Amino acid sequence: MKEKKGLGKIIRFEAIIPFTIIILLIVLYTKFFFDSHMKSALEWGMTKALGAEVNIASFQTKISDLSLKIQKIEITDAQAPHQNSIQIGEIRFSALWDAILRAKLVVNEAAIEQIEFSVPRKKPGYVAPPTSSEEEGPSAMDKIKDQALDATQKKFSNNVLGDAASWLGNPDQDPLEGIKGSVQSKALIEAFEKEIESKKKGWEKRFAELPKPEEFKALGDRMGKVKTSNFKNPGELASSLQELDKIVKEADKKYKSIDGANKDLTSDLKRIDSEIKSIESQVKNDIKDLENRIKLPKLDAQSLATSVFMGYLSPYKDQMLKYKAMALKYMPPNLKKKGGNEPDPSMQPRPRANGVSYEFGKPMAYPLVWIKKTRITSQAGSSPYSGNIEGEIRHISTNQLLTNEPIVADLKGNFPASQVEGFRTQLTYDNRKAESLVDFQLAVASYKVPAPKTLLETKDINLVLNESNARLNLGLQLIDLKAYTLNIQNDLTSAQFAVTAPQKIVKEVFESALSSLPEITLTAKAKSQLPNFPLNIDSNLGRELGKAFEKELKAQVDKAKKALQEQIDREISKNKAALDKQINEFKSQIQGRLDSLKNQAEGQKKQAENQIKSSQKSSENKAKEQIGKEAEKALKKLFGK
Amino acid sequence: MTLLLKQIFAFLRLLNSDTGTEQLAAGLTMGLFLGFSPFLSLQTLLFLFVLFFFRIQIGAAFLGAFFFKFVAFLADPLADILGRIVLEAEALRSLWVTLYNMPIIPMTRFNNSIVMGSFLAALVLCVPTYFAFKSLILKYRATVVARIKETKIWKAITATKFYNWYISYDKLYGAQ
Repeated sequence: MKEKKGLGKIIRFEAIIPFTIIILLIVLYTKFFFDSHMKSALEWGMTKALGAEVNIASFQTKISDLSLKIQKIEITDAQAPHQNSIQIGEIRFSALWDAILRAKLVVNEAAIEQIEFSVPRKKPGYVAPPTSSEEEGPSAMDKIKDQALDATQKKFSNNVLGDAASWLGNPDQDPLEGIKGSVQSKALIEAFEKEIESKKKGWEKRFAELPKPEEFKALGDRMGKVKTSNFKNPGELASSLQELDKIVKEADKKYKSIDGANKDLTSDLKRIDSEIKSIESQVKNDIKDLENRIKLPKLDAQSLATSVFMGYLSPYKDQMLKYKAMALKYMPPNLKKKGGNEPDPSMQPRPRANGVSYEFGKPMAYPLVWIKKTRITSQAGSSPYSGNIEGEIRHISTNQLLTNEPIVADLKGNFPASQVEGFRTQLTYDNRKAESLVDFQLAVASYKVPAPKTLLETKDINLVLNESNARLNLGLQLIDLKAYTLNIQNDLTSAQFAVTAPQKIVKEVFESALSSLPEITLTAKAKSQLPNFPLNIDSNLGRELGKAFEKELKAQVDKAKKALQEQIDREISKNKAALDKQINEFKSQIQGRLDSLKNQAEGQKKQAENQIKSSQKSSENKAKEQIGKEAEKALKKLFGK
Repeated sequence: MTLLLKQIFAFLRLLNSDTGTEQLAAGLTMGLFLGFSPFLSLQTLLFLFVLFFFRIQIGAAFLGAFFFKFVAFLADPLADILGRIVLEAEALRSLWVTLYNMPIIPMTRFNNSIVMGSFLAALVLCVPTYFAFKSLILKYRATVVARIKETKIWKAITATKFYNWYISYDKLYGAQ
């Protein structure tokens, strides 16, 4: 080994040439191969990430001004590989050296030009096959989401319209089917009949115990034999009176027995009347109860609108949840200060697979990434898939606390070939406060709805939107990526529907409601916390359908009510007639017999009492006459005449 | 690759000779820094530059880097904790803010908890590691190398023409 001397003992001078060669190779690689390798890497990475082929025509970098120009980015539509979902003509920007030296990316102005949609590809793009997890099925979260959506759709489709359609579709159905057996008044009448029968038997028995007419006749005979005048002596008078008194007492006893029975009968008859009234009241209650128990469909306009448009709006809901998940994944953190509510700009931890990378910012410093302005322009006419787009996105940054600017996007334009007119979208994402705010506004003055679109597909009704233009106004406010307020106003103008239904009347109801509306308005509102999505849907179609259904259903319900009344009347009328007859018989027989007995008893009693009075008077007269004679005889004897 | 293999052979040769103990220990200690640093970072380039231009045994450094990469991988959770403690320390906040906003320094990725933790661990371990390696090399030479040289097999090998030819070649063209 050769011994080195001087600086050569420490410094490896012979490394200068290899080092120069390495640097030269790097420069040459950057000059001739870097762009093409970057282009391939970007195509490969984006294809992997998006699951559909991405092609880039040109990728050019320039170190001197740190500029990048990417031309013709084609992203294959995974659903239709023969076309691109989006095609961007050019993206270009140049970064600041000052920021790059600080390991930051700051762009003063970027430009995105010539955006086109659904452009046919020269050859179909590659679409990645579903991953093993996708093959096995959706994730648990997706399953829950799908189940909830399915449940909501089924709930509305089957319950509201299904019930209404089945009502209208079966005009001959028996509304009392299945509930007839539970008519209470019928049971009450039957029980009452039994009670009347038992009472009748009771009264027959009691009649047998009551004094017979013969007994009153016998009393009359006995009375006739009693001497009521020409008493020979007081003893005879006394004997007559005694006999008569006995007869009176006996007649009184019999009368009381009959009177008691009469009172009991009156009480029984009153009770029967009261029970008849109670049966009549029960019949009314039964009718009311059965009316309530008839399964009348709920036909409010909102439920109908939800039934019709839930399927139409569900994809938008899915999109919103998807974008929310993406936002949560990529949006910069916004941690609060320890013990305070305000975010701390001087430290923003960013979790990564390997450790945590902190951003130590300070006001006016560069954030990790900051694209101050992105100008978006596109001109229609160059191809039928392009549109006139004009707008800009300002202050895309990873740390808004440093830039003190929210992300603001404002785009407007139209796509004449796709019949999209008056498109405007504004997005603001403000992450400067403890609770971030996303404000999104989207308006489209007119666009063609992708058709045909099945709105309803149930066993009772199939509603397909065949053709329509629409206008849209959408507003979304999302606070802290959780609490949101969503307002959608989507109006279908010149909509053409196809209605098919097994029941003619259901089809007619739908067709009359749809034809009566010049345009269909749809308002969807939601205010909640993600992932809950209680969408409140209202539409003039719902209201119109409600009216049409209501009219038809009212006729059906009235018919059902009438049938119900008839059914109940039929059920109880037979029993009621028998009962009435029974009561009338009971009243006439028992009352008549009892009244006759009572009259007899009263007559005999009165007769006996008269006879007593008569005997007493006769006895008095005779005594007076005897005393007069005795007195005359004594006077004659005294005065000697 | 040839350069790398040549350096590794040189390392083995130096290890079995009686010279270059400090060079070997320094190379292995540099390997500790390389192993504990992220592959794409400014400090890695800096270490490579130092290795390239200063007479540190490159083979030892690469072997050391290879070995310490595994150690660093196993120690990542500890490095993460240490890095978080240091980077989140309120007292050092202004220092980090200044460094983060300076040119060039952020390219070291010091703001990553694992990078910071690993670097601090390497910094603390470099001095004891240097002396530990030096001591181990000396012990290795005194025990293992001396014993092998006394064996009959080794004596038989050194007696061959091939060995003598190799020694002559090494004197003329052998790299350091």
